[in-house]
Amino acid sequence: MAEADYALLAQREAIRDLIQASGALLDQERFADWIALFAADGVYELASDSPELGQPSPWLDLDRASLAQYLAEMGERVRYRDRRLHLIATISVQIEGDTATAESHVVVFRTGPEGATHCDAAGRYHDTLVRQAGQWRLARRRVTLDTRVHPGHHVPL
Amino acid sequence: MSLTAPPPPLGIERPSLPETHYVDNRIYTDPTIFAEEQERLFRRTWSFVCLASEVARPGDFRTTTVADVPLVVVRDQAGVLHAFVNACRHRGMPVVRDPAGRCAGFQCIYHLWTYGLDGHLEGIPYPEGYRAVGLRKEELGLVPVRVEAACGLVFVCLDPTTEPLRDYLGDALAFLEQPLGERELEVFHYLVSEIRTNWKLRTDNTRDYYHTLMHAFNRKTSRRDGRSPYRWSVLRNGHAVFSAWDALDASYETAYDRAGFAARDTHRFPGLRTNEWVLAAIFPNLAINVRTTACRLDRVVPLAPGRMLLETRGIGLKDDTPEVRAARIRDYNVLWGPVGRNQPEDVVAWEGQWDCFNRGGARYSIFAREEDGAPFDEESVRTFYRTWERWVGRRAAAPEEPAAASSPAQPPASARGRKRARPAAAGAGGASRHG
Repeated sequence: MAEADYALLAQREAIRDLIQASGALLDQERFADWIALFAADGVYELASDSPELGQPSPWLDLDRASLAQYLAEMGERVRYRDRRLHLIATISVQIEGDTATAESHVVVFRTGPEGATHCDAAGRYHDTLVRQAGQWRLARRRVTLDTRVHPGHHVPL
Repeated sequence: MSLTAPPPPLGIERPSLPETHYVDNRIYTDPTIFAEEQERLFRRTWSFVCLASEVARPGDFRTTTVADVPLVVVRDQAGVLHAFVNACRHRGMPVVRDPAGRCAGFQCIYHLWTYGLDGHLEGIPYPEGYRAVGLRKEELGLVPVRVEAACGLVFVCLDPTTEPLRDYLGDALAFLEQPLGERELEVFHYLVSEIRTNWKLRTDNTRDYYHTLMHAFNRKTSRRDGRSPYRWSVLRNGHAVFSAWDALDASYETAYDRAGFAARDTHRFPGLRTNEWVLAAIFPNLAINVRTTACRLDRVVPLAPGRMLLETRGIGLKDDTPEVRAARIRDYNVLWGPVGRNQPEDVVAWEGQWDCFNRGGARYSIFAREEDGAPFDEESVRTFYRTWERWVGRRAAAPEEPAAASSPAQPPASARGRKRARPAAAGAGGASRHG
């Protein structure tokens, strides 16, 4: 295999690592570390499928600063003491120079305070990434959920 | 009047309060009462189903259920709204299987019977097979249901004897006509939440501003110094409205800057002033919440004593520019969205209460605050239960017993309402409303 191919594989692996880390950091509620995966002008967008609207139903669309404010308030909130587990399968990574796009399938399990586990949500990550100082960062993460019946949760998906 | 469940063993002492100021928690858990609510309440009152703009064009339809009855609302070619039971008259297969869409007519997938948008039975494959028994197509149209609209909101009613919609909504209309009825509305967010609780614990929550002490967002933005210009207006038919309707300053209650947000002083809903807020609780199961720039509309759908759907719409104005719409969506979602600040907190409370009631851990709930209509006053909840008693026929505080024949369910028109003229200096939000 040519050296350039190894380099490309290494970049793809770095992007896959970032995507896996994005799920694990949310599960561990390490919100500052999760936000650090975004570029300074990065954006997070979450929407669910909605045949009722005929277009996706928007749940959240925040820049990095607003996201940081939202997550910094987490300790003030009344919350279930539950745990979540992201399972992420990245199905494509396309790199062009210092930008890339990636698509992943995402399933999130929720274990409630009583210990029972159920599937909380299923959907996709549509990521646009930029390489800054040799590190890949999320320029935009758009989460589209197939799940459209949901009780709501304070932690993004 | 027997109940399904025996009384819980703990906490059986009645509160030393007027009987109007507490309820027996078995009204939330008892299967007999749940069935009676479906039959006596939801089959007889007006139920919100969708915005008129969701069925704006000929052929637009929207499906829903009311009292567990599957319905479809559709606009015909002449622009007339219809509602039908969503069931083919042949074998009962739903004739519409999508939640929303547009069609030229309805065709049952099972044996291909077809219906017009006005519900008439149009076609039967191989009709000659019915000739011997004289089947009459004109008797087998889709079963019609009453449908009426007000302020851009479409309601249906399964009971032919219930008063017309505008009479049913009564004084609540005065609060809604300007923000919702002046310009065409559009749904930008739609979510269904299935929640493990009784539907009335959600409607209690809408009418109980006292509970906002739970919400970090409200603790920051709401002032608690007793000077709020907001008041509850308790209206006929169990409706209640929280507003600063006749106050000169509507911005005092909600200091968004204290939670890190900009004041809501642009792209306001018609008639609303900076930071102004109107919350209308429409009996039995509709909440209309307009916080200056965005509207949340909640319909509660009971499924079982301990299971409900919360059907939530985020609403803007049809002619919003893309920039204004994006701002409305942001304002909506940071507070009300499924990953917003308040709904996940409310769910913890609703499910916790129901679990406790269902295990017999608490026999009574108290709604006894009297503060002359001030935000924490709970007359808005009490009027819900006086109205509930009238429809269901049981006493909320003693559900084994029938409601009193002369139950004071109906406040006289405007007796505690604020159906007064709005101050002339209504601010930059728009012209004064008629009362």
